[in-house]
Amino acid sequence: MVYALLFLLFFAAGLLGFGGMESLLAFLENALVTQNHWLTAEEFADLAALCRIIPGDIGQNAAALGGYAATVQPYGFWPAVGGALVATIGIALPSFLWTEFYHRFYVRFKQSGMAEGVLTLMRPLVPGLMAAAVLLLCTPGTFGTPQETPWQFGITLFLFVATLIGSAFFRINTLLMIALCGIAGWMLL
Amino acid sequence: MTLYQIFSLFLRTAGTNIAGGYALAAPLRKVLAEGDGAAMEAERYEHCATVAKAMPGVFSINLCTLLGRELHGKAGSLAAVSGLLLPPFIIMVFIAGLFGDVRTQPQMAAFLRGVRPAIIALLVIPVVRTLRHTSITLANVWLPIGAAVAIWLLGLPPFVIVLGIIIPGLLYGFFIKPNE
Repeated sequence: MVYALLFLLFFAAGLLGFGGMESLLAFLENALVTQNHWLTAEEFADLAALCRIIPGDIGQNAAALGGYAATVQPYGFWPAVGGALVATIGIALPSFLWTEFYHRFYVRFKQSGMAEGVLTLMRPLVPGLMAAAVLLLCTPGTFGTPQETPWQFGITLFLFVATLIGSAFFRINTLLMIALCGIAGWMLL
Repeated sequence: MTLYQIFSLFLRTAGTNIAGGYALAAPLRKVLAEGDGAAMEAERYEHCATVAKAMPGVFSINLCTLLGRELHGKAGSLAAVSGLLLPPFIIMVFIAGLFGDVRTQPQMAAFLRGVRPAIIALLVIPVVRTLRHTSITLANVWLPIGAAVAIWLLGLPPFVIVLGIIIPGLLYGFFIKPNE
């Protein structure tokens, strides 16, 4: 059953994940963290960090890791590799369907005005999906709480603001920024 | 190009490309559409990249599907995507088993506690950029806010929201025909 669920969740993300990588994250986090607890929000953030230094898109790597995490506890290693495979196929298959759709129907679809109709509503939706992906990662596990862990709360908030300013205004290399924050965390947290 | 050539070319170029996402477009263009005897025209390549960006789902998979189809039809798509997916899949299966143990090592855990706020901050920047480039008015501001709240606080799956948008969008487009 869990294999069917994995396939469907990642298939839905691939089929309906409009708006690029950042809005796709909302689909992945909802499936992996909110709905099924296969990963925690902190693990998902760590995966996003890891994806910056290993090959593969976050969508693909989240499918492989999520499929593995969902099936390794009850079934063991090889069935978990199967879970990773099912989720990966699930997220890749819609690309073939959309490519077929594009080659066969897109011109007619666009002329009917329906493409523009969907986009009129989809364009403003995309920043909402992206914002949801960010908000789902802002957990007490990551930032701490001002009452219980004021030190962690202060430091992580500072690192958050520093990264925001450093990469939006000073264009500091993102990998360098992440590494610096990691070193700060290693020394202070 | 034979199917095996497509598979091995995508394996070497796309499957091992670090810093995924849109960063994949440049190295693939270099091997497919630049120089003498290029496999496809540069314009054709740019067209594929534009379509891949607009398509739902994972950009790199979309791009390889479209490019594979240009090179060798549907079988070409399959060969290209297999090449793209295979190396990261193998690496991820190896990492997945270690993921929990490495993350909870005290030194690593402290390092990651510093990394996470940076990762989140880097995701905030594209939200702001997209908001700037989207015309949000009083008439449609409920869409992004409603979606963000529903997914974040109510745990509603995003695909439900997208499906809920597609149907009225199709009807709106079919009957009213909005102009750009």
